[in-house]
Amino acid sequence: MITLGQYINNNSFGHRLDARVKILATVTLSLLIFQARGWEIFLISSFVFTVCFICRLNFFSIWKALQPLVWFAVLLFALHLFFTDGTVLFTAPYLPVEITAEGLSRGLIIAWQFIALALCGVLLTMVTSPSDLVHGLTYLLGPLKYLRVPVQDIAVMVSMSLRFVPTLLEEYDRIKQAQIARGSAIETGRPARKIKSLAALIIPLMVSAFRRADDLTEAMEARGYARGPRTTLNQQHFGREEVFALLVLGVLLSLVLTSQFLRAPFP
Amino acid sequence: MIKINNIFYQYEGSAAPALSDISMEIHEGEYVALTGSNGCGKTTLIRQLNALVRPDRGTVTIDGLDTADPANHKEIRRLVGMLFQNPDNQIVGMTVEEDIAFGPGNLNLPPQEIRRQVHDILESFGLQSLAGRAPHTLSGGEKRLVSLAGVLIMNPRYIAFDEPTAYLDATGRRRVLAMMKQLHKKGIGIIHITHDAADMADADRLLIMNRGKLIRDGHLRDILCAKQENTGFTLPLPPITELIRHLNRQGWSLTPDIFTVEEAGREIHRLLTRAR
Repeated sequence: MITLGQYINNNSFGHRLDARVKILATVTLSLLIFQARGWEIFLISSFVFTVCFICRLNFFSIWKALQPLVWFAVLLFALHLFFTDGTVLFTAPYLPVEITAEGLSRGLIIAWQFIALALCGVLLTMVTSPSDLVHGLTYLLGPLKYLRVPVQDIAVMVSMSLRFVPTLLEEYDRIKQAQIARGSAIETGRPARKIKSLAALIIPLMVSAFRRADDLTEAMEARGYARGPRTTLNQQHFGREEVFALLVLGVLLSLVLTSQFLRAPFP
Repeated sequence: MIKINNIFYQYEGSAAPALSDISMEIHEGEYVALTGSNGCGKTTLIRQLNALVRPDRGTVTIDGLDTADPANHKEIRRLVGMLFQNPDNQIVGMTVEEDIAFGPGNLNLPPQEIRRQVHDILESFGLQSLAGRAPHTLSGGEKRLVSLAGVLIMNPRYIAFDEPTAYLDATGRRRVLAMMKQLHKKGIGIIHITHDAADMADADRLLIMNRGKLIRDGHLRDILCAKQENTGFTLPLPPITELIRHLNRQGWSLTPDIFTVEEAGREIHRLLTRAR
């Protein structure tokens, strides 16, 4: 079975929190991660790991989600390590490669920033259901409606897309099996043949997706959907836990900002 | 009452009309089976009832509301629920409860009221354990029930089912048919598109369509008993009726016009009791 996202509700503090607070916290953390230097890195890292612990998340699943990105982080680290000028720490024999102190520190910081940002995103999707995420975003983007941005319609579109990702993946799998059963070289052939066979997969998938979209539009209309404001099942709740979470976030923000101010008071 | 008055409808670019000269009435609480060969216009006809398409000529009114007037559409779509052939394309929510809440959300009900209604309907369908499940993780029968729950929450007076037992296994099929029977008992008008004569057993009335025209309208029993005229469509008899007629050809003397397993059971029991 194809599963969407990594959300499993274990009713922890992080899972119970209002999605709007979690989105705000993720955005704030992301901004802080870009600015962090020195001990701020340690502070933010500790904070993120504490959140993982409080949310009772399985570190193995976090690692699994981050694994595909680790190679990119390594590449970023290597690029900075080898191509930054500065105080030479090490020169590779017979190779035009020099490792500098600045390259090492910048590489480490950039790799950390990348992994930390990805971790924040993974955390958010692990503790927030896709629908809560959409409703939270709809609320936070609400003011855009005054600029005539159809926020609610966009929210319906986004949730509909998320709803149909597994269905389309299943459809893709079905079409693939059907093509293989008819002798398609999609899995076994040479790369050129594989690419050619891909067309026989993509075209029926597109046709099916458009047909589904047609049926879906009718089904939505039949259930009274029309553009414009509508209500939803999800109720946003802002209680003590949310206030507490915002306070903790505020403390972290003040600490990092104070540290940055002390480091460079007059930028 | 649903009133269809001499309607004509043709899809753009199509050479022949999808519906022509159709007039009929469907009363509240009536169970109507609709059959005919593929492409004869059955689905187009029920789409007219929900104002998804409007007739080129003639009128369709639902409890007095004309489908031609866009101002009536919201109320018409509340009055006439539609269950499409493929529930996969009808479920729009990311979870079961969100999907069921889609209709009331479109009616702009307050969230607390939506939650209460969703809770009640999940309870009445015995689907509480599925509330938070993603639609793609459900079985075919469960998907069908979820889409039915999504329609029923709108409190409709009529529900049009487009081949509701398609894609279902025997258990799912029995469950859906039993559910439809229950809804009929509650007074909801049922319009049921089906190709299977056995599925029509509970219908008060049978409509047969061919090439966009309504060719038969009468009681199911009368239509099945009568010699079928040369109208271009032959309704296959339910397997149980075929069996009874086969037994009669073998020398049994059973009442030939039996259309349900219950009737056949009673008749065979009567015969065996007499023989003893």
